[in-house]
Amino acid sequence: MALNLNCPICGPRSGYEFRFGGEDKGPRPAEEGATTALWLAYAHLNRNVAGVQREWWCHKDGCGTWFRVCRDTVTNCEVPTVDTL
Amino acid sequence: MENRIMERKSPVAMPTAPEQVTRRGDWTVALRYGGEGAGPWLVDLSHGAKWDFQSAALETLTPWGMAIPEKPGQCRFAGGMLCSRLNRTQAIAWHIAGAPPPAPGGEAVTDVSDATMLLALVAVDPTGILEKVTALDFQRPQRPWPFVLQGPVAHVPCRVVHLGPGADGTNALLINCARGYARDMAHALLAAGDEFGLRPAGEQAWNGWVAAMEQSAAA
Repeated sequence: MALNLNCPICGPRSGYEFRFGGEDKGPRPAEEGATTALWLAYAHLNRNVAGVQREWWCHKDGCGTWFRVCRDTVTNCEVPTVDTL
Repeated sequence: MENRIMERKSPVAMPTAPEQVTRRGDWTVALRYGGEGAGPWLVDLSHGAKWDFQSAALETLTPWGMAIPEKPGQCRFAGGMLCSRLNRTQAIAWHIAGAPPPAPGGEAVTDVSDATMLLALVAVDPTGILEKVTALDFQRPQRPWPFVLQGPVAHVPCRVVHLGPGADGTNALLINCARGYARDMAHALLAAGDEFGLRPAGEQAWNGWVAAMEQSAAA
């Protein structure tokens, strides 16, 4: 399935120009009081949903910008940003 | 002790040797090739100074009294220096004509003259040639000249600046990528432009084109 992404600077481009940066897991947990299990979950565990998820991507062959997009993992298409994720 | 002279070599290899060269700042610069005619031309500008600016406050930098363009994709050309904004924190500046400027100071600046190559493609429709080796779209959306696009050309990550039209109806594109791709990039562009008569040209032809463009813009 071909993937096209909208770079916020360069516009729509082929997915081959981008590097996947993993799921967007939100802000880094506070170090004070953090448990090993919490860090393990933040660093290594993914939701891996079949559906829409928010992800980090880098336009590595273009402007080099890191940005977030929402992608439907079932259709492999970018979808409008979903704020409730 | 032997008196050694530093030799800086352009990574670009043209299929024919230039007819006239000059020594400038440890570089051997091709001034003229045989059969240049009226173009279209492919010109090696790798010997020009190139600087990379990286800062979270690019708007505070004014190299050579020139403000760095505000938005990514925008370029500014003045005094032979072309400055292009790449993203929120990065810009590049190339010396493409006239007298060389002094090196800008400050911790935000890196000299990348020897790390990258620069080619100029001058033709009535240079995008028609370049679009044979890239999916970059120079027509849509329409942007004011000069502007920069970033993306693969012949599968190589490049920065391509569209300088706009010159005085004689020709247009110029500047193609910049890492030094190691230079030989094959020149080969790919000459092959793509073969049907249009694309040929190597020297710095004299390029300087003439830039001077005419500046006169045309000032008129």
